[in-house]
Amino acid sequence: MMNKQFPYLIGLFLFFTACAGGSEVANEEMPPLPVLKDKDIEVRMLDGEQVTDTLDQAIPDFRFYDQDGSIVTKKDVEGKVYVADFFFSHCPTICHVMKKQMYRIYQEFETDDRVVFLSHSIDPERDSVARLKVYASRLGEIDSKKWHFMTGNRDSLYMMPVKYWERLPTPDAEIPGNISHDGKFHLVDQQGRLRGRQEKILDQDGNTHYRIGYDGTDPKSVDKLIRDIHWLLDNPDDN
Amino acid sequence: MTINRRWFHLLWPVVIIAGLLMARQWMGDPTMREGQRLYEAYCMNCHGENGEGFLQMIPPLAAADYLESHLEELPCVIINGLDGPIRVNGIEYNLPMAGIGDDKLSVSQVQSLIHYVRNAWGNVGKKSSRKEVEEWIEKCE
Repeated sequence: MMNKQFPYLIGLFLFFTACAGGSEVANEEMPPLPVLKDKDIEVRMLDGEQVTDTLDQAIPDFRFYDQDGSIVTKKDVEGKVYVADFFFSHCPTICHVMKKQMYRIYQEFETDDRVVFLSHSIDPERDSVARLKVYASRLGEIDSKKWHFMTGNRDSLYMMPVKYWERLPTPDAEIPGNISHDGKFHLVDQQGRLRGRQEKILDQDGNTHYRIGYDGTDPKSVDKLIRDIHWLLDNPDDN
Repeated sequence: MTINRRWFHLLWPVVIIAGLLMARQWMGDPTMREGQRLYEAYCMNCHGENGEGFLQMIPPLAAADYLESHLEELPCVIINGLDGPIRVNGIEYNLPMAGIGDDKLSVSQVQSLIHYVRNAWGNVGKKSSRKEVEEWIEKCE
C-alpha cells in the first residue's frame, strides 16, 4: 500500500513546489507602475484668440482642515505615498463602502509611516470639522495624523478631483444623497506624481472598457491598489 | 473483487441520501432564494456577505435585535432608507442609508427580502404573511 502511494505523494509534492515557485516569480516580475502623465489640457483666451496649453499632470498645493481642525497641506504628504478619495459624510450609498475598503488599506499600512490617507469632503457646508471628527470616530481608533478627513473652502475642494483624474462631483436631485461622484481611489507616489495601471474591464453586456486607477467600491481593485503601494514602497526611486 | 462489489452495494444508500441532500441544498426554499438574490443585489455591498455590517458605520443584520424589535418598520427601511440615529444591539449608528425605492420591488419581493434577512446567518424569524407586509408598506407612506 505504502509503495503504491509513494509516487503520488512525490508528484503532489513536486506540484505544490512548482506552484509556490511560480507565484514567487510572478511577484518579482510585477511590471513597473506607470506614472499618469497625460497632458492636462487647458484652454484659455489670449488677445481674443483661443490658446491651448498642455501642462504636466500635477497635484497642486492645497490647504484644508482635518478632523482635528489641524491644517493639512501638500507639505504634510511630501515624500510619502498617499491614497486620496472624495466622499461626504451624509452620502447614503457608495461612500460607506469606500470607507470600508479604505479602512482595509489603512489596516494594511497602519504601522508604516511612509503611507498616509487623504479623504476630501465634497460637501463642506455640511461636513464641519466636528462632523468629520464624529464620522472618523465611527471607524474606531483612527490615527488622525495618518488618515486625514478633510474639509475647507468649497472652491478649493472642488478643484481637486480633476487633478486626480476624477470626474467633478455634480449636484443631482434624482439620486440619494443628491451629489453624484465617482468612487475612485487615487495613488500618489513619494514624488507627488499620480500613479496607476490601466485595467481592462468587462461590463455586464460583455463590452470591454479600460479603467485607469482604482475603484474604491471594488474589493478586487483595492487588492491591486494594496499591491501597488507595496511596490512603490519597495521601489521609491523608480520612474 | 467480491469484497469490492459488496462495498459498492453498501455505498448506494449513501449516494442516494447525499444526492437528495444536494438537490435540497440546490433548490432550497424559493422565498429564501429570491430573498438572497435581492440581498446580494441591493444590500450586500454595505451590510456584507454575512450580514456583519462595518464597525460603527454600517449596522450588522446578523444577530441584530433591531430586526425583531422593528419588524413592522423593515419594509419602510428597505423602500425609503433611513436617516437619523438608530440603536442595534446597544450600539448607536447614525449615517444615512439609501432605500431601494418604491418602484423597484413588489410586495412579495419585500416579503422575501425580509424573510431572508431574518433567517440567514443563524437568524431565526417567523415568515410574515403577504398581507402583513402589504399593511406595513401602506403605513409607511
